[in-house]
Amino acid sequence: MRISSTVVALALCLAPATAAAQRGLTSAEQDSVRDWLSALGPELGPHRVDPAAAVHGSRAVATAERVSGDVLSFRGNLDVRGEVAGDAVAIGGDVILHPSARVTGDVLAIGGSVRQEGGRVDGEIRSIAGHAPGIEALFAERASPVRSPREMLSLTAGWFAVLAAIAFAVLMLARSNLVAITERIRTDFGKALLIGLVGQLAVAPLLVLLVLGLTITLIGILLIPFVLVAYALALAGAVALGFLAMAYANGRSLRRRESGDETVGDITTHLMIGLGAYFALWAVAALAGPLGIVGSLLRAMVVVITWVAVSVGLGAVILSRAGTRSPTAPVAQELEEDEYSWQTPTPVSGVAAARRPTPAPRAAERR
Amino acid sequence: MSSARSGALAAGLALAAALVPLPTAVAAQVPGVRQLSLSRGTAGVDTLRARVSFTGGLLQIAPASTDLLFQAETRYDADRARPVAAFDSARGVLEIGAEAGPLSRGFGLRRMRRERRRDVPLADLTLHLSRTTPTELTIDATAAHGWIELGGLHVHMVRVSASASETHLSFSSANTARLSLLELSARAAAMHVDGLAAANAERVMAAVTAGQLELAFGDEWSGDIALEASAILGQLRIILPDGVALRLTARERLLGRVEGVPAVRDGVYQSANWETATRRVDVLASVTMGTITVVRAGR
Repeated sequence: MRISSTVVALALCLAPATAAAQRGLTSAEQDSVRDWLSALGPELGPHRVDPAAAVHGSRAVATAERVSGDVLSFRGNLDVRGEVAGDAVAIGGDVILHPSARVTGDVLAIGGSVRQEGGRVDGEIRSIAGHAPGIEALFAERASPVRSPREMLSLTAGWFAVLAAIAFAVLMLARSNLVAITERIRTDFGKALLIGLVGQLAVAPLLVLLVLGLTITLIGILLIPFVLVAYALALAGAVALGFLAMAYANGRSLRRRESGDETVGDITTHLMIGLGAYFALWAVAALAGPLGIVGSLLRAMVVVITWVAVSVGLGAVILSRAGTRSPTAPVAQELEEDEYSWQTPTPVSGVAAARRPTPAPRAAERR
Repeated sequence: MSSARSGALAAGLALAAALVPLPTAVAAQVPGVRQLSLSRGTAGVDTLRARVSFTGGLLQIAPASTDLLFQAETRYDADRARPVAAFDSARGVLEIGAEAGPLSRGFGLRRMRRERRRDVPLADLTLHLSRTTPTELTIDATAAHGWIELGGLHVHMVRVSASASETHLSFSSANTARLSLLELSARAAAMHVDGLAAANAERVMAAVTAGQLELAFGDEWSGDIALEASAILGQLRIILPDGVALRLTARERLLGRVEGVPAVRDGVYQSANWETATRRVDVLASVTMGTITVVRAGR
């Protein structure tokens, strides 16, 4: 049962990627391709390539097939065995002309080559390619806004690995701080969010004030570079620590565990579950990337969720002074016994009162 | 370890770990060497007018081995050169080549990278031309090393201009069309022409300014040739096979002189076999502060 549900989930995750193989370009992708094409200029010659007609991935024109108009493939090869009554264009791939191929217009390969195994081309044959490193690198740079699900997944996995490494370091060296910050999130979630937002807004002004303060003192000017580095370190540390605390809290909630004494193993498990949950969200958003507006909405949602988590975590770090101040810690506990334990039941008739315990006199008083 | 200290340590560790992926994010900028290929079949084009404008690097022109109108491969440094590759099928005009880009533009890594490659050729161009289509060819090479083989083509007009270049032009086999004009110009350049007689040219105009130009006629002749030779501050050598009749009209100005002919009377030299020879060259030599030398091959 569990296996079948996993398979179904995996299939659902992979569905968008498969669907992306033969879809057209989104408007954002078209814009970035247009920018890239316009940057080519003289290499492209008089050609006016319309990316709106392009299809993701490889494309083929079968032997008996006749296509009226231009045929464009984007990041894939264009295999021509039939007739193209227009231009045959591959952007980021090769155009392969088989002996039965007939192209009445031009053949153009941008970021690839034209492999002519035969066939007939009425127009010109043009290819723009780069030796390694060359135009492919340029192509990758230009097309970077259009990240593939695979690239997004790799990026997400990379971030997960980095955060997991940080988490293990924190567990070894600052576990009590992490627990304290998590407790603060649990008890003061709203306040932590508010403080976190204010903290984000205050980052730049605080830095400016700090630098101004150092500048006024003149001698402090020498310290400015060090302060800038220290400030960046502190900020990055606070954000990372807060996010980990938030992940830990989420992991605990997902396992429906109340706060209390937890072993290191429990904390590790909860932390990894929390981080895994965030990773899963980003992975789903990555896979849904090619789904157009749905993918964009999903990604926006995940961004907002992560941002809220970071804000709450940062707020909790500030409130708990990086986990050094616990919300449940008593302010002062002078008496170990119950406040009223000295009292005895007193009948109306009255009994002799017991002596109320008092704190031990200080050494000076004793003398 | 106190809580505060461990918190700071954790923050430091967090930042250090977060900085690990940075080197991959700051991707190294790579040199932008690109390759542009352009070719076309002969269908629908009666005459090809090829204009080659090439700067910096190796220029090679040769007859095509397949039934193509032309095939051009340009390899160029995209940071420093701009390729030219356009074909107007209606007029049969091909514009091909590479020109130097604006070196003064650009900052930072891109500029540094470009400056580092200053002594690397801007571009290499290989152009193959149809053997059957009537062709007019204009070549303008600057700071280039040119190897131009036009033997076996069907050219009826050729203009080759070289500046600050070294160019080898040859007709290793006969031009299949009558060449109405072959115009050669070397400015601060060296140009060597082999098999000039095989060009099947009616008229040859050769000019050198502050450079060297060598015209070797070879043995494959198809008719008389009229040569207008001009040298200013340069040297022009005419290499003729034995038996070829020569008539040379010399215009020597300001330290200019014509060498290699026995005697110039009233500015005109005519070889003894001029009236009877089947292969004749009529040279109008104009020289200013330079020399025009006639050399008989095999002597």
